[in-house]
Amino acid sequence: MIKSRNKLVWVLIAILILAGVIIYVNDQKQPKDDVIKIGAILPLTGATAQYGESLRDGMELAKEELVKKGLNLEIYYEDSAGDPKQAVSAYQNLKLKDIDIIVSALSRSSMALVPIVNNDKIPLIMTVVSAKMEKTPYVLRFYPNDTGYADAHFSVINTTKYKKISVLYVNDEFGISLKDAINQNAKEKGVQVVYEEDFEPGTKDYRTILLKVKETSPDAVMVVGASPAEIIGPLKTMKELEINADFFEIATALSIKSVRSQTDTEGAYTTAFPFVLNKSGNEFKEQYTKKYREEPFFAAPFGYDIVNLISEATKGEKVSGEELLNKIYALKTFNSSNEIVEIKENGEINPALYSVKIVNGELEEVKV
Amino acid sequence: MSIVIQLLINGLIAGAIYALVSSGFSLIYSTNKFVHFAHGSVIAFSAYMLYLFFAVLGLNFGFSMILAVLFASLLGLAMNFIVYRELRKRKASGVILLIASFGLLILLESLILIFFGADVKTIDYIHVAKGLDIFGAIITPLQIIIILVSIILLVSLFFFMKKTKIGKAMRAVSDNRDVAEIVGISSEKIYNWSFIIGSAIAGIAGVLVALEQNLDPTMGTGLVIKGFTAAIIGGIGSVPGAILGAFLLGLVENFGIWYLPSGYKDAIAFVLLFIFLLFRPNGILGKNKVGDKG
Repeated sequence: MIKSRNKLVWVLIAILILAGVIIYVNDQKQPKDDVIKIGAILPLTGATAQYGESLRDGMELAKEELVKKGLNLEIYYEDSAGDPKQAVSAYQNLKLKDIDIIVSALSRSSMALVPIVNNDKIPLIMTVVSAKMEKTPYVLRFYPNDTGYADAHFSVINTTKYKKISVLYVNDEFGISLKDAINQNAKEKGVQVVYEEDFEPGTKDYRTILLKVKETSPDAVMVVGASPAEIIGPLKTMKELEINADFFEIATALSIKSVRSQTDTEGAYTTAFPFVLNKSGNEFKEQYTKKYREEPFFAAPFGYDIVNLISEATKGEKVSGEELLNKIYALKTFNSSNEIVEIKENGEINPALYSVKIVNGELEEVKV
Repeated sequence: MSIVIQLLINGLIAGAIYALVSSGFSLIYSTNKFVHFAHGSVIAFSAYMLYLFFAVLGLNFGFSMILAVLFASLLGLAMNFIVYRELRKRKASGVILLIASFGLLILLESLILIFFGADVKTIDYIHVAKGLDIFGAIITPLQIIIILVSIILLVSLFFFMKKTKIGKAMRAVSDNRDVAEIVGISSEKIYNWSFIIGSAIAGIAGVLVALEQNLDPTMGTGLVIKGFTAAIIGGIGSVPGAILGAFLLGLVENFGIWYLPSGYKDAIAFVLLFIFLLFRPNGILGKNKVGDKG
């Protein structure tokens, strides 16, 4: 009995070794194809999955259009769930696929990739990432940075109306960077930050946090949340606790129609991209609506634009590493869905952002 | 003074929700003797069922609530029937059942994500209302409903366990399964009942949380961790203890984050848990069980 069991174990070990050898040999034999391979690390599950799905849809639309034009490219998707550990693991999976360039979303997970891509010399384009970042050789950001976000609201916040503000921010790279940018802006404008507090990602109960805010009687409450739920929650609780202050959310979540319809958002301030305000990107909007039978929100054009940017830079030619980066930098500007954007030498590609107020459920640009 | 009352109210609201989670959780643990973490997915499932029946299919709100709780109860029963019972037949240990419960939690959360999508959802039945003023503190009508429903339900559960035949049988199986079987109580039947009742309570928790907060597929995970913590603080296996533990946890968390940054909320909960584990390991109402046969 024991002998036959031992035999079985040895047979199993032999099968496993053989399978490993076959997989390895096949992998080595695989011909290196000549199309650009994009690896997308997106939050496809979790509280921020809405952003990841929208980015993926935008990328797929761009791919479909490019393939029709005869420009082939491959996109491999991996789920980060908005988590840095999962993002790194997703990156390792993509590396095995001989990826030429990585696209990632969300500050929380993207920042974990920065040192690794620089070490591996694989270009990374980050989007829906606003955390403070020093220039590093292989990283580009296609999104407004921390100061871009704070500046949008501080173009309307002045000491005439707002003498005291309170800041609530999510405790991650995005929230901390934005909180610092708000403090910097407030200092420059002479607005007093009377209270600031962080909350953990995924917080559901904001009652006691906002009770502290209420005690400081601010003229405005600025909320930095990474997911729509982290904006809707504080807004709802603020109304329940009758906090008489204007509500400013920084992360553009309320520019999404489906998010606005979830609760009473009337009178709240948010930020919006040119695309959302119908200033640009109408052709993309039309194509997207036709394909997916729903209107895109702000994340989708970034997915679409990044794929088109890579394609425009490489013109369908298979390039990677520094050469690919140089080709992107050589474009200098790019005609995006959010107007023409400059590709800066420090790796920043920052579209414009506007402060908007919700009036009768619609977005109304706040004119300075 | 109004701040203390407001913190008390905040603590009671949080405690009422935790109590609904921990009581169902503790009920299942006391009879089945394993930690059923998939209880969290029952909460999320019930919330999404309410969303489906009320917001998507447009059914009457009361009827939607009843259906949501009923489906939650059936889900609990199905989990026991399809997964746990089969594992018990194979003489699976408590650890195996615990791992299976984690698997079920992840599976159900993923299924909710696939069917309902990832975008934020709210059930807009009770609109955001200005709260009522109680000695300078504010509480909304929905929050009063949450506390009242919780108290009524938990009192009913207490009498159910004390006075009814099934309740007494549950306590008998909880105390000693082998002796209970000798006197003719079918432990398998009791396991089913504990899942039906425990999951129905989780269903009610899901409905109330759905009305108060946003829906997301992982909404039950955080709640079940808090429910588990409350159950240990109260005395694992003791339903009244779990309820007391839940209210204590809600109050300590809310008073704690008044003085400390809110990021410490979970840390406060776990410090309380450690204090109990170190100085009163059997919890508030837990008994020393020597030679428990489980």
